[in-house]
Amino acid sequence: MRLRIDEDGIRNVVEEAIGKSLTACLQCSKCGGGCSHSEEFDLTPRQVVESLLDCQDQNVLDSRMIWLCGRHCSGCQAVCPVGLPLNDIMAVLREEALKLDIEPKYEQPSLVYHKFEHCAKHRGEGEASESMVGGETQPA
Amino acid sequence: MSKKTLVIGGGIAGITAAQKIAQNGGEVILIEKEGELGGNFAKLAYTFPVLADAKMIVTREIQTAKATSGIEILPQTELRGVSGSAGDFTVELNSPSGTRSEHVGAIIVAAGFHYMEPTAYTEYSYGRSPKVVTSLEFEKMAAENRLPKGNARVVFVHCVGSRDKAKGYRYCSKICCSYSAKHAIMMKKANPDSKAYVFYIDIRALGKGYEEFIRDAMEVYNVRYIRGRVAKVIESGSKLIVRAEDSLIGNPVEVEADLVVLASAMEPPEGSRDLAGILGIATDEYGFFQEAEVNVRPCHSSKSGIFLAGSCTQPMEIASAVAMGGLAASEALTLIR
Ligand SMILES: Cc1cc2nc3c(=O)[nH]c(=O)nc-3n(C[C@H](O)[C@H](O)[C@H](O)COP(=O)(O)OP(=O)(O)OC[C@H]3O[C@@H](n4cnc5c(N)ncnc54)[C@H](O)[C@@H]3O)c2cc1C
Ligand code: SF4
Ligand code: SF4
Ligand code: SF4
Repeated sequence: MRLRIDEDGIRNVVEEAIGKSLTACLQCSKCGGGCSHSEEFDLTPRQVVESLLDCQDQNVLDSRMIWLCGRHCSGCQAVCPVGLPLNDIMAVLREEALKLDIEPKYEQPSLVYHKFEHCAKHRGEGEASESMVGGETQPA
Repeated sequence: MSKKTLVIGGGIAGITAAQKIAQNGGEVILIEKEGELGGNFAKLAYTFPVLADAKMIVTREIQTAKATSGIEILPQTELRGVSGSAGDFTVELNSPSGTRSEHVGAIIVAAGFHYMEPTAYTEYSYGRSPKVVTSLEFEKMAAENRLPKGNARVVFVHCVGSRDKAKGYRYCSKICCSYSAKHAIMMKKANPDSKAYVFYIDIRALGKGYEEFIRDAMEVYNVRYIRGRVAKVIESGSKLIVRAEDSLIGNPVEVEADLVVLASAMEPPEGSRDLAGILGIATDEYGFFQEAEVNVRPCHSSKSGIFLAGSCTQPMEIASAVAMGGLAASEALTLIR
């Protein structure tokens, strides 16, 4: 499928909410490597940012990723070299999706994910991923 | 008017400046805070983009400087004070043998760079695992024949401390793409059974022969380049697990490694702001010495009669440091002849 690039989209809502421009993104993909859940995602956090920049709103709002992300973890933003609050970005996207009556998509991944897999401590990983930067952003 | 020039720093930029001034009839006092000349060049095993023998070249240049009449070399010496103006400075030099005062017409600052210790990068297990080293440590391992033997896998990590506003510097260190390729090739040459991986954001290797050098790493030496900044290095038994996102696939990937090499940032030399304070010249937002004009006066500091050379102005490779040393020398000669 060929995507049509645009300039007007949900990106503006997101940028206003986080108080930062998404143009800060270095396109380095460190976030996706730092996330403990990206193997369950349909979009990596970097792809969400990229899609937002080019206003592929539907792609992002229909994704599973925005629902699976952001529960007590922030492995992505703890290592982001420009400090983009990915956690908050996903929270804004969930709100926007709800406003548009888009059905949340929580079910797909294994339950293990909710119990242990999300927690870096249980996986004996580096402290960066244990950081709570960004705090809780449970969807409403 | 004094006929002498003071050169601060005995790396390749300072050595070159001293040689050129003396070869053109000037007199030089070359001060080096360490016991030996050579600076960071002397810590390298080979040089990109041709894999030249670093020790041989730097030793030759040091010998030339020592053999050239008109150059007085003062090791373990630092600048304590400066007064006067262009053509007529008085400088205070502090050596183990004591302090002395000298008249000089010009000053060249060639204080080089410091290599960042990436201790902030706990996500890379640096400082925790002895199998995670910096590129400068890799040079030492190579020189001492301590590279991994057998069927080892080595992962090279780009942009550690550079292009990182959060934990390091916003700038790009310019040459680590090139020396990481050099290291991967050195690894494969030293141990053809090894596997080498390079994780990159984008590849910045600008210079004659550099692109070809990178392509050779991939095509001739079979070094695998994966696009994506490394996010984590996890200790796992006797191995390391390197995690990243392969951004061309858009999927998380991991690779097991025996050695991880971090291409850390080239930062301003230690004490650069103090030295700038003594000299009365400007530094940039990072602490590198500030040139008067980037395009056509890269060797002029903010003060008349004080010139800059080499990696104390920005990260650079040897060839640029040499070019700047030569230009700084000719600027100094206009004042002392
Ligand atoms: C891992 C690594 C690999 C590299 N590989 C290559 C390569 O393959 N090819 C290449 O072209 N380049 C390479 N480089 C870059 C190369 O090291 C630099 O270009 C070169 O060393 C710059 O020379 P310089 O004289 O500007 O600085 P330096 O080599 O840093 O020398 C500066 C000198 O000044 C002295 N000094 C500092 N402050 C003072 C003071 N206040 N008073 C007196 N003396 C002082 C220092 O002790 C030092 O001796 C590599 C760098 C690194 C880190
Ligand atoms: S907030 Fe957690 S789940 Fe979401 S992208 Fe970051 S690390 Fe992954
Ligand atoms: S880690 Fe930060 S800068 Fe890098 S791709 Fe992700 S959001 Fe962008
Ligand atoms: S030269 Fe390459 S490795 Fe070094 S900071 Fe720049 S892009 Fe990163």
